Order: sequence, then structure tokens, then C-alpha cells
Amino acid sequence: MKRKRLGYSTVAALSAGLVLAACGDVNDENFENDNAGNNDVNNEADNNDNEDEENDDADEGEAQEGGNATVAMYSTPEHQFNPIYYTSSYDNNIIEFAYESLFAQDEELEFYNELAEDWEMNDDQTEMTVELRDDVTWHDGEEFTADDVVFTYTMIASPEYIGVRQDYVDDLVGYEEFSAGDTDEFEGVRAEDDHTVVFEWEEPTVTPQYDTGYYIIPEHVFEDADAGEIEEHPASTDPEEIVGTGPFQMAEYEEGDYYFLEKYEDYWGGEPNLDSVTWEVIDQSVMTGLLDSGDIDAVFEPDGIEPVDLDTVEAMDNINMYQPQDLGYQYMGFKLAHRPSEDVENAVYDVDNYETNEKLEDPRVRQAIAYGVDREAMVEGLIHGSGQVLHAPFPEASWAYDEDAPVKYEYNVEQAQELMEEAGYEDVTDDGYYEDPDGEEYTLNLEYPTGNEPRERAATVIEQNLEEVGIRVDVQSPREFDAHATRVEEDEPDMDLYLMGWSLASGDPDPSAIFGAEAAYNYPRWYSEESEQLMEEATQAPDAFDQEYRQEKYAEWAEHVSEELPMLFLWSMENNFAYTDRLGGVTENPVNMYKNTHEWYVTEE
Amino acid sequence: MADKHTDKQQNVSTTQQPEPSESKQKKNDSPTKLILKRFVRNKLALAGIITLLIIITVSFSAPLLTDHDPTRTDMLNVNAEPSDEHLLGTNPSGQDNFARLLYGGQISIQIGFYITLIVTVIGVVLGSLSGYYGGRVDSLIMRVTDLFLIFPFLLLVLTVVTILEDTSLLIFVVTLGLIVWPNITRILRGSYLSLREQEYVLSARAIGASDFRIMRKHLIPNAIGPIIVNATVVMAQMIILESGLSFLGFGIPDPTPTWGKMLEEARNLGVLTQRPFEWFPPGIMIVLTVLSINFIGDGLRDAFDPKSRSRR
Repeated sequence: MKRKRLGYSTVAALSAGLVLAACGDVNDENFENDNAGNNDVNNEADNNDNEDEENDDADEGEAQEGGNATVAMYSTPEHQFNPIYYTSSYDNNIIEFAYESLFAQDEELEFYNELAEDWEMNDDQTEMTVELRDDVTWHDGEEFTADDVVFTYTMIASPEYIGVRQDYVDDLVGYEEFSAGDTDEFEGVRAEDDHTVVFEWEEPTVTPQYDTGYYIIPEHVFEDADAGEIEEHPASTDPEEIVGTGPFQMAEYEEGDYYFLEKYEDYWGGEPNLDSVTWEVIDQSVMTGLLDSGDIDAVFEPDGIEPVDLDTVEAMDNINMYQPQDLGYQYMGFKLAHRPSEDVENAVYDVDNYETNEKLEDPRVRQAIAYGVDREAMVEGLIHGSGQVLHAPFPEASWAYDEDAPVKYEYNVEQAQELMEEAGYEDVTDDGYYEDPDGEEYTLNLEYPTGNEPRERAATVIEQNLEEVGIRVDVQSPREFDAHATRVEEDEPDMDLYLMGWSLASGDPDPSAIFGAEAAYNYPRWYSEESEQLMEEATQAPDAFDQEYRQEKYAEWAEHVSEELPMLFLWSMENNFAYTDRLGGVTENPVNMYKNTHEWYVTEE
Repeated sequence: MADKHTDKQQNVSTTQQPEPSESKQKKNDSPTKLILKRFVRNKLALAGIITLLIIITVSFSAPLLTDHDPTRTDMLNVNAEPSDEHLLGTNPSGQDNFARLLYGGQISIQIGFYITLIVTVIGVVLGSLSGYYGGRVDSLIMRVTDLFLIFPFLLLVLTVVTILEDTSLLIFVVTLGLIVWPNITRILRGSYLSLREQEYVLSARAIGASDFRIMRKHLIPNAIGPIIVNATVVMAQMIILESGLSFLGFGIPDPTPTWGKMLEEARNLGVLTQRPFEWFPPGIMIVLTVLSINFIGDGLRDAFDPKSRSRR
């Protein structure tokens, strides 16, 4: 699962500077179009305009040979272009064009072969034999072989590896020994011959293509580095050095401004139509105008254009919208426990050491908060209805979604107050705020990051909603996303509530990496035996080969999690991907807009 | 006793009647009155002070002018158009723009005022010490000001504000105050260097007046012109700086309104093109306030320094 914390990590300051930079690229010809553009923006597109568009349509439609497509994102990548080390969605945007995996997911979230030719599982479901395509070459002309696959997985499993993708390898045979440095050979993945790879798991696996579907990096480029050194390797950071198998290869970039990729002529899927793809970093609020004027061709992940611009875009004739339900979601986490500082230092996750946060220990308090926050209104007001209130961490797009399973907390101040009083909270001092059962002042600290507009605004709304209930929330100044994430990860002792989001670029709903008691990503430090058991059962072979069985288990789990409320799920959003008529051949895919980019084309103006 | 008496007379004649030509014309006017007269004659400065007074009065009588709480969000009423209920509509959090404009004015003006106060106090104290004592004290203080001045100003502010994280109003004001003081310190030191060599200062010292008394009675009153003029410049700068920082997302945290934060909304194309009522008023208020303060500053400079009249 390519799990990315919803980044948005660049602060407003940077984006403001970037607008200027981006505007500097606009050439004279495009400025002439601005008048027409403004009409559209004003929702006053008159008939003349429409006629023009239609005429244009008639002229268009001819795929042009070559050309350049410009795609925009609103935050700067961290310039870690090595798939095994990147973490932000923005780096991934570029990686997607240059690297590929054995398997990918299509529009229906079904797996299909990418670098794999064929595959089969043994009867025990513990061993997978993958035939690789034999016509694939790396950007430097070297042949792609089974050794590259073995190398990639071995690197992620090796003791020196300091990234976060262990998820993909930790169930393979011999991971424990190899990652501890006890053995020199990683048994879990081996090359049978040049184009055959065998993966072997300790336990029967339900999601083999998912575990084996990670980006592959070239062995011949990185062979002299150990896994730790790869992070700083030139081929991970220098545009000319980056070598993948994808249809485009990185050529150059100007930090925070543009990222230029050229086609790879010998791409196995056929020579790409486009000569190049340019990524530009542009403030989200100006993207709509630039789409309309034709300065950029597409705005895809993450999020697409701002929800508030939807009306404006709908009034434009030349823009296609694709609005798949995002598998990610925004939430307010309850810090149910904190890890002691030694554990934080040593990166230890041990349930026995978790120090319970008494302020949030009582589930009735969490439920009261859930009743007291008006999420319906937030979806309406903050994301303008382009999303849903979420009750369990399975958005509608997920097959594990079950409308009836989770408890739904409808906004209800009285019910929230009843629950607080039931839990022993009382307004002793008569100041409109509850004191805790011991009569002490009761204040919850809320921390949140900058970047994502609706989320930033949500902090104040939550504070005021809970004030009405009688719960005092102390909203801290927002931090940059990175700083905020570090505080959440490292269990800052003062933190009670925090806002964050998950972006899950995969169809499998297994929640254990985020809700497992000892998972690093289990930021609330939630521990529930029932949840552990349900999550385990849901992926236990052989029952778990039946999707309906898993659905049932996840429905049970969803109900449990919504009662326990380790976090208050706020909303899941629709992505608002937008691209102009000029760009064709786009494969609309809810989890990945950058598949089959070699088929992208631009039409003659 | 006689000695002391003459000293005082000399002092009076030098400090308080610095321009003989003026005193010849209007023998009966006190210097303060003269300054006032010159100030009032400056129409721009007068307009500035009236405008500023109006802005301050209106901002600080906000509770009388609107019933809305500027921080209260209303999710069911976001991005509302102007109406009787919301004179300037609401912002994307459903907060009333008119209330934010008024209360934001309070904050913006207060920020400017308090920073100026801090800067002036630090500047006067350090500038006095440095200019009066000279020598080691002087070099120490001047090297510290140099240190502050060689940093790119905005970068320093951004860094400090980022490091401090929790930028409440108080922290914001104190931080900026601690960063902006060097200029005024240098100016004051400069005036002291020439003032301290004046005969009346030497005489005061000769008859045993304490350093503190000399500074208080003889030096500061003579340097008051540059101090006040600089204070107005700083105040105008700080109001703009606050807006700039807020615009960049480094200002006072939500939900406190300021003019700069209202301007920030206009980064969105839709807001910029279709909702001018949201960003135009705070923009105008910033321009008016800063212009007024600058005009007042100019007027004061001219009033304090009769020589500058020749330049007009």
C-alpha cells in the first residue's frame, strides 16, 4: 500500500512565492487569452465565447505528434526521487512517470500485470512465481531482469534501510533474520532465472499482488551502495542520473518551479506520444485560471483543484472533470496514550509501555465529542459538499464500505452533554465549561498543520462547536506539516487532539497498518483486543480469500472502531481532477492518474 | 547658586529656542506652540491625523457598530454575499467580514502601536547609553546593532516567528520589537554624539548634574524630533509588515482577525475576481492608515526641524 500522509507540507509562504515564479513562465500569447478567461471565470461566458469553443472543438481532435503536456501540483516535492525512500505525494507525482511496478491497479481497482508477464501462486498461497516481461529496458539501455526485483526487495528488507516501506517485505520468509543482520541472504525473494522471480511468505497471503506491487529500482545503478546510502545516491536526487523503466525520464528541474521529464523512446509499451511532460508547482488558488487560459493542461493528485472553484470550472467548456472518491480521509485523532520518551527515542512501539491519557480515556467523552462536532455542516461549508461525512475509515469508494455497520454520530449538543454528565463531568465553577470528575479544570489541546485550507479552518469550527457543548479546547498555533507530523509521531505529551489526513493509494482496505496496536502509524496509540482479533481474522487464509468474508469482518470492525473512536473521522473527499480538452489519452483511474502516460497526447491548437 | 542659575538660563536659550529667526517674529509663542502651528499649517499632516483618528475611533467602537463576533464561524453561511445581515458578506469560514474589518483594525493598529512603543523604549535607552557614554559601551551596543542590521530583515523575522511557533499577539509584538530596534538606536546615538558636546551639557556636567538628569533634561528633549518621526515610520512599517506576514501565513494565528489575514483570502482567483467586497475594504484601510501615519510623520519632521522648511 503506497501510504502517504496527506502532505500539503509546503507552507503558504512558499506557495505564494511560487505563484510569482509560475507566472513568470507565462508567455505573451497566453496573456492575450486572458480576457476570454476572465469572462469564463465570471460565469458570464457569452455566446460568442461558446461559438469559439465549438469551432475550436471542430478543429481539434487531431492527435499531435510529440508536444508537451504541463501538469500542475501545489507543493514542492522534497526531491527524494527514489521510490524506496520518498514519502510525500509530490515526489510520487514525478516517480509515477519514471518508475513502474510488477503489478498495478486499474480503474476497478483490479490488479493487472505491468512489468510482470504472468504469475501463479502455489496451492498453499505462500509462494508466488512471477514471470517478468523480457522486453523491458532501463532508461540507460540496460535490460530489466529478475535481479532488479530481488535487489529492490532486498534493499527494503536490509538492516541499513531507514525508510518506511517495510510493509511490503515484513511478511516474507526470512525477514526477521535478514533485517536484524543475522543472515546475509534474504530468502523471501529470489531469482529463478533472468525473468522469473519467486516470492515466499511465512503465512498464506491474501494480497500477494499488493505486496509484490512496489516500484522496482535498478540494481546496476545502486549495486555499490548499501540500503542506507541509497537515500543520498545521485540516482535518487539528480535529475540526469535517475533511471527507471517508465515512459518518461527526468531531464531537469528548477526547485519549486518546474520539473521536466522527457520521453523514453524505447519504452516497452511503445514510444510515448508526447515529447515531454512538465510539472509546474503552482498555488492551488490560481490553478483554475491557468487551466482556462491553457497555461497548464491538467491538475491531478493530490486533491485536484479547490472545491470552492468547482462552479467556476463547471462553467468552462474546455475543461474535463474527473471526480473519483478519494480513498483517503481527514480525521481528528484522539491521543489515547503517549509512548514514554525512551520508547520514542528508540523507535519502540510496545503496548505495555503506553501511558494512558486520562483526559480521553472514557469512550463516552470521545462519543460526546463526536456528537458535539457538526461534521455535516463542515462538509457543506468547508468542502462545499464535494465529500461525505465519514463514520469508519472505509470511504464509499472502498469495497469494505458498509453504510450500516458503523455507529453514526449525528450532531446533537444535548446528547453530547448527556454523555459528558454520564461520564461524571460537571460544570462546578459555573463558567460554561465542564470540569473533570475530580473537579479539576478540563481543557483539551488541539494541534493542526498548515497547508490544507479546509482542514485549517476546521480547527476553529471544532473549537467553537465543542465550546457550545461545554468542552474547552485550546487550539495551538498551526505548524508546518512536517513539524506537526513529527510531534504526532513522537507522542508529544501535551497533545490531546490533532488533525491529520490519510491518503491511501491502494484498494485493499486492511486497516492494520494504521490501527494495529503496535503499528508506527497508529498515532492515537489505540489498543483494543477485539480490533486486533478482527483485523487478524480478516486477512487470515483460507477464509480471507473470500471477499465477502472479509467484508463481514470489516463491517464488524467498523462498528467496533466507531464505538471506540480512536479518532473522529471527519470527511472523505472527492478528488477534483481537471484537465483541458487539449490533453487526450488520459486513463481515468481513481487511485492513480498516471498510468499509461505513454498514451497521453496533445491536440493541435 | 548664582552659577546654577545662569546655567539654567543658558540651557533654556539653547534648547528651547533653537531658531532665533522664528522667535523674532513671534516673541510670545512657546516652542511647543510653534511646533504645533507649523504642524497644523501642513495640510497633508492634518488630513492624516484626522483620518487616523477616524479609523481608530471606528475600529475601537466596533462593538457598537456590529453585533457579530468576528471569530464566530458559521458553516451554513460561508462565502455569503453582502446583505443587511452581513454588510461585507462572510468569509470561507462563515465569519462576518464587516466585524472582522473593524476588529481586525483594532489588532493591526495595536500591533503597530505596541511594537513602536517597545522599539522606541529600547532605542531611547540603548541609544542614550551608547551616545552619551561612548567608548566601550558604545562599541558593544553598536556591534550588537550591526549584528541585527546585517541580517536580511524579512528572513530574520520569518525565521524567528517560525521557531517560536506559538505566535500569540504578545509574543508577536515582543518578537518584532526585539528585532526592529537597531535603526532608532543608531539615529538616537547620532544625535547624542553632537548634543553631548554642546556647551549647556558641558555646563550641566560641570555643576555636577547626574548623567541621568542630563539625559532626561537636556538630551532627550533635544532629540525628541528624530524619536517621534522615527516612531511614526516604524508604526507604519509594522502595520505593513503584519499584513505581509499574515498574508504569507506567518502572522497572528486564527481566529483572531487582522487586515492582513483578510487580504490573504484574495489569493483565490474566485475571491479576487468575484468578491472584491471581501478584500478591497481591508486593503483600503491599510493604505489609508499607513499613508496617514506617514503624512503625520512628515508633518512632525517638518514641524520639529524648522530648517526643513526651506526644502519645500
